[in-house]
Amino acid sequence: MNALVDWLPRPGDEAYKYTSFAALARRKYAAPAPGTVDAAQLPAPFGARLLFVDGRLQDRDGAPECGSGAPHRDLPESATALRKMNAALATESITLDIPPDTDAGVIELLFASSDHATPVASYPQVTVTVGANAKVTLVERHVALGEAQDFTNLAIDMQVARGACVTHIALQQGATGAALATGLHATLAVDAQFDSHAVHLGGALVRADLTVTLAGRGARCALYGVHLPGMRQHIDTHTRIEHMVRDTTSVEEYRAVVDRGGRSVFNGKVFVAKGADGTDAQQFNANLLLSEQAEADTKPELEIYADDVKCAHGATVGKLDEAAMFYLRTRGIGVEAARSVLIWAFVETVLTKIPLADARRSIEDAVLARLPDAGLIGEFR
Amino acid sequence: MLKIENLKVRVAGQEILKGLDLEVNAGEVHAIMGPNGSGKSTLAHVLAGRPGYEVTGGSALYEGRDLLAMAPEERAREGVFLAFQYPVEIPGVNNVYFLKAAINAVRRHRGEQELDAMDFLALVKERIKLVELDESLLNRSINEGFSGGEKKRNEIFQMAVLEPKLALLDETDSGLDIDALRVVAAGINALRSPDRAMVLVTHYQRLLDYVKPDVVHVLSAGRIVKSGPPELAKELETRGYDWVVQEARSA
Amino acid sequence: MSTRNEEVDKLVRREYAAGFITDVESDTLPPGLDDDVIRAISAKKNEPAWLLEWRLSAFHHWQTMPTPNWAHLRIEPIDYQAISYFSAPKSKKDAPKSLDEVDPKLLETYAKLGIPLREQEMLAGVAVDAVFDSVSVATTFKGKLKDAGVIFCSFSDAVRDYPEIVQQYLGTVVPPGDNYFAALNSAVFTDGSFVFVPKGVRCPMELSTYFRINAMNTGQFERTLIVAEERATVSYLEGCTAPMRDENQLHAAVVELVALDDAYIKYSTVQNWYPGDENGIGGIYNFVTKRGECRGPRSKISWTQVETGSAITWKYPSCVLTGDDSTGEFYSVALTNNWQQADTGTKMIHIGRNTKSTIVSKGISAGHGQNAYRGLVKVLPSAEGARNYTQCDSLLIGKLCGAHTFPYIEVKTPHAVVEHEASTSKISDEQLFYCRQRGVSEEDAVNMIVNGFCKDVFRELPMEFAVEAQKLLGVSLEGAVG
Repeated sequence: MNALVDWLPRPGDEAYKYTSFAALARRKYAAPAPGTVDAAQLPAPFGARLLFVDGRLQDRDGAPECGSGAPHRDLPESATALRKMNAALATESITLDIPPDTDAGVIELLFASSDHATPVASYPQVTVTVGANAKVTLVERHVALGEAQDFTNLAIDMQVARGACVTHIALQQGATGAALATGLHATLAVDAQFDSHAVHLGGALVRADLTVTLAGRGARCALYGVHLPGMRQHIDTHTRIEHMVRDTTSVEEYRAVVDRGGRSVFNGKVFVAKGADGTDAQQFNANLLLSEQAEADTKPELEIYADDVKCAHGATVGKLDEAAMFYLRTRGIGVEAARSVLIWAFVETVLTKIPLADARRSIEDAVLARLPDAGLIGEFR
Repeated sequence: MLKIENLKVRVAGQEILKGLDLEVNAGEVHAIMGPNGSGKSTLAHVLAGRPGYEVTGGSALYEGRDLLAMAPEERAREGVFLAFQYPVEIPGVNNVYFLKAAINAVRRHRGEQELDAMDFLALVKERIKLVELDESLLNRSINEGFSGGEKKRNEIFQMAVLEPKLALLDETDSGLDIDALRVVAAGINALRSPDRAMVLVTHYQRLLDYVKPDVVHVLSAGRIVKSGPPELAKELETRGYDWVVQEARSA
Repeated sequence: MSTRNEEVDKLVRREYAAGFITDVESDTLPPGLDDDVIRAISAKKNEPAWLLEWRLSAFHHWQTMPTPNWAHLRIEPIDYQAISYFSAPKSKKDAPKSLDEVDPKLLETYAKLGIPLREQEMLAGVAVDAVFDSVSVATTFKGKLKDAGVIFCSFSDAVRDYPEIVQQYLGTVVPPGDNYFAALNSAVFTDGSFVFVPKGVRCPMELSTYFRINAMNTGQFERTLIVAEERATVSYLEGCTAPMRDENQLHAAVVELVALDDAYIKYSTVQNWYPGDENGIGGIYNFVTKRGECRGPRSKISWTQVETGSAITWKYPSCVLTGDDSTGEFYSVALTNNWQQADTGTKMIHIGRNTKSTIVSKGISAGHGQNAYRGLVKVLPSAEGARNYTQCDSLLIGKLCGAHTFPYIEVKTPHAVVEHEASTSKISDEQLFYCRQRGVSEEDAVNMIVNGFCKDVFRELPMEFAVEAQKLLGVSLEGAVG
């Protein structure tokens, strides 16, 4: 019997309306064994690296001091089912402290799934404290060295102190059959900033929960993301931005390109508490369906209890612009190349916002590799 | 027409006007100049009755009546007009419709017959020429999507339609290029009349090149510290405000 | 309006005290709901056996359903066994004898809306023996409609006179087990309206004035069925801008529309039921299921609603776009003031090819009002070429209200274009001051801004209705500012 069964979302749970993890109950998962990976097989790091193999911290390469403590088990009742699962089943919490007034540079959390036969379920938990006026780029990266159909349920908690600035870059390239749930919750103090860039390429069943609580006046966040689900891929992002106090700002843009057999889900909630006047929240979600049997579900939500606010959201679902396709083809560009150009144009507006050049390059390469004929684009980059 | 004595005003707990005196008679044009933060806009707003401006002392009589006791709309109906420095956008509310509601509110107040649609449109079409505003703007929402210059011209156009007795023009020249400034100034000049008083609030004297005031006042730290002929504006332009402020201090 | 409510309470209590007559022949059934009550309702109305069976099966289904639970509505539990499910029109002796006996606040509202005196009497439920004007008016209408071949009658009459049409269409758009309140309605509905417009007929008038005069007191479980056959056209206006005298707290109506090939049904609603007092005491719970099916190709169904009343409004007038090239529209203004709550929106289900839908929703929140738009746009794989455009705007007046937007968009074909936009704004102090500086009073300024905000919806209302709706918003917003 899987321990996780007790913690799966119940039927009718609105937070999992479009995404079912019920299939996990039928799988057999092993606990992660102290595995090793061949360092040569890992991608080049974007900075100091904390290496997690099958959910366990294995190596620190130039990364700052980090600790290990008892996992956080206490969660508010409102936490999602999968977040509660992590809290219940995690065995430890890795803590990372960025001291005040420092620039910690780039720290990469690399979650590598080793090459093993029996799928593994793991529940890593990371707690990050960012001191006042500190600065850090945190890369959350998921790679697979084998084809194991693992289930990873990752929770990251982040406290961002006054004036601190965090850039979060998530690059998810899990195994073809893997299931992944991530829950990141960042709480921002006065004038703190949190920017996130998430790109989901791999995995079979992916659910990313991203919650930002703007708890200090002047706090701001920007959330960007790209989903590229293809055959038998289901990628779901739920974001929740909470404007708890005055003069907080958020922008959000998520884009999905869905190919045959794929499904993208986006649920973006903006919550504005009573008294949070001066809130400015802008949200946009765009979806491109490339083929039959592709599906996009989107739910941009506003929940507003203050009147002096500027809140807007937009969502679109559509296909490649036929007029543009035709135009490109009349100029001698082949169908596949034309499609690639237009798909690229659709996601590039979000990808260019990734501030870390190495990471952006790597992500762009990974995206280009998914396009039918990217030769032309390479020339224009 | 307007007599202000020892006016003291607080905004958000801070005293901005600290005992201001000013007298304006019908037919006169007064310019109020002064450095940033001296209280120029506060004066214009408090005379128009903006909520949140707390009068802590002094008086302002308009045609012998206590102006400060009136509601903003009552002041407007009695003939006080404020041309806003930042005209407000009101989405969904048609410019012409709004103006008709405003003019008829004034006429009702005066016991005059309301204008019907025909007479109103004739008036509007005549007056809009004064500020060379595109007629198509009439059917748009109030100030929505207007350029900075269009907004300012729209204010003067509204003034032309409403024909106030006392016009308060708050930084009407700010954000205007030279052509727009000429147009706006021509509009203001056309509306000068023996029955009408105007108070121009401005930081720079460039508007005064086109609209010649009868008196120029310098406002500093909440008081009028110097008044003089139009030439005073020129002097301020070349010498700045510091010397007036110094002079006032030593006086 | 508290006086009125006290009167109602008194009345209700008196009836309880007197006890009810259980005889089927009597005018009022005792509170409570079981098979026998449903049999009694059906017998009372001389219904055919199939309809009784239909009711019973809906009831048995309802018994298995859990009470709905909404995240965004504050609601007291409803005791369904405390409701009386059949009562004949109130006897004249309980009604006010003249307008002098009617709550002055109600009369004040009528005056502001410019309702003629005679109509005021009717709306307030004054016991006039016959409504002189309406008899002749109704007769004229009836003749005109009959000449055109349009059937427009009460639901009970339709069951008696056109049972085969009713049986053919009833429950085909809103199945009896669709949701909790639809199931309850299917089991216990007592009356409502029936419209049938045959092939090629353009209904010669708006079905409005007639309605205002005749279709009152249809009860709390109202059932409406409108069928437009091939190429038929009809515009139906429900409700009234004036607040009606109403003694039922729970309203759970069902409206079904069926549009066959090339048919067009326009359904406009102005809902202004008692919203409760300024402290949130009393008020109607309005839980309505409204759905239309564009069954034939090129058919069109358009919903327009102005919702200003009720303590709680829960309604999602929807379109099932089955026919190719069919069109669904939803235009809504929902206003919540004081302690009102509204959870309203629409569902557009695209099934046929090249189906189009447009959603324009304007929510206004004032006081402690909570206003939620909840909508679904679903495009099935078969709906190639489908188009949806949704615009969802909220206007907030004051610091204590809430405005919420919950749109669900589900697209299962690449050959569709769906666009959704939402924004929020407020009436700012700057805007009000600007208007007042030009001599416009604060109240007029608020009305101007609100009407400007709603004009995309008012445009869809028949002319005279639009004018009344504007006035109504003004009345409903009184005291919201300042």
